[in-house]
Amino acid sequence: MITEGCVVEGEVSRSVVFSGVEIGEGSLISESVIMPGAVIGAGCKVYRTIIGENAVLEPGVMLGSPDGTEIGVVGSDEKIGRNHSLQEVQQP
Amino acid sequence: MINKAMGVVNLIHETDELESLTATRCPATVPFGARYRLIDFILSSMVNSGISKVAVFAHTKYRSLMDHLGSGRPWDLHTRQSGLFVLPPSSDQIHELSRGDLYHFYQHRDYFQRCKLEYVVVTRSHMVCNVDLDAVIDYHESQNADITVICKKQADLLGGKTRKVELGEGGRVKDMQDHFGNMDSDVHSMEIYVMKKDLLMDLVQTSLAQGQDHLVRHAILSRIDRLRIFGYLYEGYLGVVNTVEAYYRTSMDLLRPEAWRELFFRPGPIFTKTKDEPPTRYLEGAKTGNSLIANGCKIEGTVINSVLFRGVHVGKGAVIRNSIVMQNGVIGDGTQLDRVILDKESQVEPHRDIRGTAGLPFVAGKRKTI
Repeated sequence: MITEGCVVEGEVSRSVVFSGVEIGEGSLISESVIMPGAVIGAGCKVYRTIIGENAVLEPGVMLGSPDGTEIGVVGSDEKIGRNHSLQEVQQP
Repeated sequence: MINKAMGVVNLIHETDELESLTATRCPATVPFGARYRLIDFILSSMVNSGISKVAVFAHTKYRSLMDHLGSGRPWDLHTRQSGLFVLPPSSDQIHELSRGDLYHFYQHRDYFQRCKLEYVVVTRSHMVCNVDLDAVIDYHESQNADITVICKKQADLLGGKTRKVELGEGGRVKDMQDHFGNMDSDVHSMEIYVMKKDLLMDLVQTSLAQGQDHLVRHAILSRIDRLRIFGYLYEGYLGVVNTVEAYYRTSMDLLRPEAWRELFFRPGPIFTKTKDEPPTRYLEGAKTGNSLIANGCKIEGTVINSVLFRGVHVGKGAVIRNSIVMQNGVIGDGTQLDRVILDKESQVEPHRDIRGTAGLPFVAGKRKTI
């Protein structure tokens, strides 16, 4: 599901994309939720991840894996660089 | 932000070669850009520039206009004072509909006289643009102009028809001709005129008294030597949508990301009547590329280089290329469309193959079944 106001230059499958999201060229988004205003750089691979509002993924970031069971979360307004590895979300 | 101007969207005798797209509506409400109507662009430019009093001169076939504008809420024009006024022809004789626009200005002179704002911005609805009128009024004042007309220097208008303008030294307008004139100039009038309200009222009364009844053709063009008329060169995106060819080619032009960004975001956003539709669903087998797709669609086929309005259903295995499908269109399974414009609520039966050409796209009228 993709709502109005998005720019998608990559590929999206089985995902929910909120308004104003930009997805760069050659990126692949799979089984993920992308909240409003997030920017995904070119050539990113995102599997089974929830990306918060206005978060920025720099080009080439890889998150999650196609056959993984864990769900990654990127917080709102976070900026994820290429060498970032996701930390497990701590249950309170 | 200024608030010293009022806006007029003049729909009287607009150049209209949109054929079946304007069979049931006026050019102002022709759907454009996946979720907008043509009039949205100039209305949004006005309110983004701080204009809070806008009159729309409705003329013929204005049912869809009334429906679209409503109280003016999408443009924040639903205020207690000023706000949006739709001024229909106030005539009891049918032949008066054919009279020029000055006559309508005259009939509604009370509206202008009651208004205390200094300037009037007179516009048309078929100019797809996003213009900062505040800057134009600053230019108007700095040139000490009587009238400022917004112009655009552009070699190819994609089939749109405009008045051509010849600019002299310092931006002074030397000559202006209707689109069929011989003048060779790549400066086009965007038909947006800024002038003092008192000057407009004076032009209306004087010209009518001289037996003339067109604002631009008579009142302004005949005074090019006497009045200080300046051209303001607009730098942003312009589409002139008054022919079917221009409608098609300008829509396709919006698929360029640079054009899209320039038109929809700079200097301000474009507003339209809100419809709360769910997000578009892309089901198994959906493939899309280089397209503008509005909310509420259901896509099970292939959509490439196309514009889909709200609520369009693309059936399984259907292939849509280089086409425009307006609101609630239903494209049957396995149908192929290429260079086609489908008006609202059209239906195409399964396994059809419809093709137009770039200069002459196939156009289906509202609620047709193919």
